[in-house]
Amino acid sequence: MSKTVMVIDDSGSFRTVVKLALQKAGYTVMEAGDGKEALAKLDGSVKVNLIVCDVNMPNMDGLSFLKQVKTQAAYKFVPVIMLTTESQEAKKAEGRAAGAKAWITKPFQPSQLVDAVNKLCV
Amino acid sequence: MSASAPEPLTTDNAAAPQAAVLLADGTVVIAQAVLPVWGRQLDVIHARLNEGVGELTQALVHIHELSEHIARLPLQPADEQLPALQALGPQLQHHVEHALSGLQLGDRLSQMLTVVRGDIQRLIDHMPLLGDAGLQHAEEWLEELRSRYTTPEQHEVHGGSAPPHDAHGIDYF
Repeated sequence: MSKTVMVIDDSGSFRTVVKLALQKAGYTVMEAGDGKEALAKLDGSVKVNLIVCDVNMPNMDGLSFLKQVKTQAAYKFVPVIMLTTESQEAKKAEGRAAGAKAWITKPFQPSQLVDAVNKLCV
Repeated sequence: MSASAPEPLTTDNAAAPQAAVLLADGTVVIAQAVLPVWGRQLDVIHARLNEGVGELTQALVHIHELSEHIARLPLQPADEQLPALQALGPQLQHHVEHALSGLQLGDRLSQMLTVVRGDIQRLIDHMPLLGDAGLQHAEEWLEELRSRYTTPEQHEVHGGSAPPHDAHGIDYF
């Protein structure tokens, strides 16, 4: 059974790029357009093995999502990769403190993302 | 982040008579400080757009060449074609990945344009209040603009430096 990755990004085309790369590597992909939608989908009954999350999004940004999802028992230990144009050290430090496992700065190579997912996916 | 289509810029004085208007001194001070920064932001957006279009074009040309190459393969039984087709697979994959990577440009440019557009609206909104704004106010204005940047090149060109090479990579925590 393939592992499931949730991809959270408000750019539909960007989610498609990530989804194609991960599906090709054998992962099942779930999508959400922002942190709020992702939290609604992650209701405790849904199993995900890893989350890939943008930072700057409407409704709920990626760092707020990260802090909230880490309070849920079902997802507390699910690794989260932040995938974003943000490269400021302060933002990275905030992500690290909130529990992110990796920070990938866009633009990225699909193979680079797949390597990181393979490494961190539980 | 990708921005949806923005609302048109709004002005409170849209119905004002079309006559020469003297800008208050404070407005001129802020404009003198912020217009060069907007200009540099637009220059780097322009440069990134050209780079991205070039990258996408190059990838698509390579994909087109490969498809033509496949079309020219001699007619042979499928099993005899297999080695040649398998050899083309990695090349095709490489160029498709390159094209997909280039498509990320849209998201990046959208964020950068959203920041400039937001600051233009901010200036329009604040113009009536800028009568006695001075250099200190201009510096505060630019700091607030800087706080909205999301990409390294926005920060770099803010103060007039050359845009950096892409600083992409992975940090593991």
